[in-house]
Amino acid sequence: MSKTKILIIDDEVEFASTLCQRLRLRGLDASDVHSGSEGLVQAVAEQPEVVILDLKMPDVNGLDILTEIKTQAPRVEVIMLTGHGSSASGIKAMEQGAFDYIIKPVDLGELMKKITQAAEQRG
Amino acid sequence: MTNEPEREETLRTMQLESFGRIMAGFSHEMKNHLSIIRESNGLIADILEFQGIHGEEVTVARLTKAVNSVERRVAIAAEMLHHLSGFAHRTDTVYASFNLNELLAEECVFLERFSRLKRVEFTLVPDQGLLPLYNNPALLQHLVYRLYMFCLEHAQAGGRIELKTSQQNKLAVLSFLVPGVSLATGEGKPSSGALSAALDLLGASLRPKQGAGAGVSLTLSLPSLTPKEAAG
Repeated sequence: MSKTKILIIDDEVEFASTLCQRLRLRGLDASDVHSGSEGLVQAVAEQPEVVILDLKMPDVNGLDILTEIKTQAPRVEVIMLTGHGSSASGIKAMEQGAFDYIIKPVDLGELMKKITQAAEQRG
Repeated sequence: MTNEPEREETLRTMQLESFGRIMAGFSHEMKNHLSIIRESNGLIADILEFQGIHGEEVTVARLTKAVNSVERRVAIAAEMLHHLSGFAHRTDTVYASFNLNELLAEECVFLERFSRLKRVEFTLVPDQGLLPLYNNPALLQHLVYRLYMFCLEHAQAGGRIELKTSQQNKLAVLSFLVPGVSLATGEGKPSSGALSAALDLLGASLRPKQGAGAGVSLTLSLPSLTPKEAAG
């Protein structure tokens, strides 16, 4: 059985690479990129099962990247990472096509659950 | 031409908005740092669990204990930052729709510290059946802070303050209770012109009550405004 392919798009290099290592230790085929534009290119080219996408990045708005991914690669499920205090930004992302959202700092158990659900939904 | 009090009010509103945005930015930054700490700590935990380390059992136990301690503190700090971020965003718009229990929960996380320092127990008892409100959330949090401070000032060390919410017809009701406290005549409620102005803007009323042995209570009744009332 092939490993679930995950792409992490977050400008915080230390965060993204450490999360990536932890997902690999759990048997996922995870990789990370550190800019929104690079992330979009890779998401469309590689078509991972799940993208974990930061909402706020310096080069682009995460919601714009989400829209582009869902337009160019509709089968890719996206889980948004948000640092907002309220759930409003996460709900807005879901209205724009995100599978779900998770609040920073990430609870890995919760993230793993959402990844499994997203991969199952994709079929 | 704008008169002096109006200019001052506009300036204060702008200051509050700037302060809120800076505080929101600060909490976002702190969440990023906290995220890195949590993931790095988690990676150490993973290495201990998945790969193990060659060393004395006692060393592994000490490392595991330290990792768990960091995770516990990260979880507490994350929850506080989550509330701080919500608190900071309350000034984004003057009037907004909000859930009173959520608004109080995010403020009480910080108020609890003042109670702890005075060795007073502070509990929030939310009524889960509250209707959503349309009003001025930042102003309400300011008023809650003032009322809480009044209660804390009169509470005795070892005593308690209870903050309850309830729904009475169309009004949301917020009651502070300080049991076992009696006050001198005229001391039964906080008084200042600014407090009255806050009550007016919120369309709220404040009812103080004290009785022998029953302690002191402050009951705030708060309406949900229509956009027209908010603008007026």
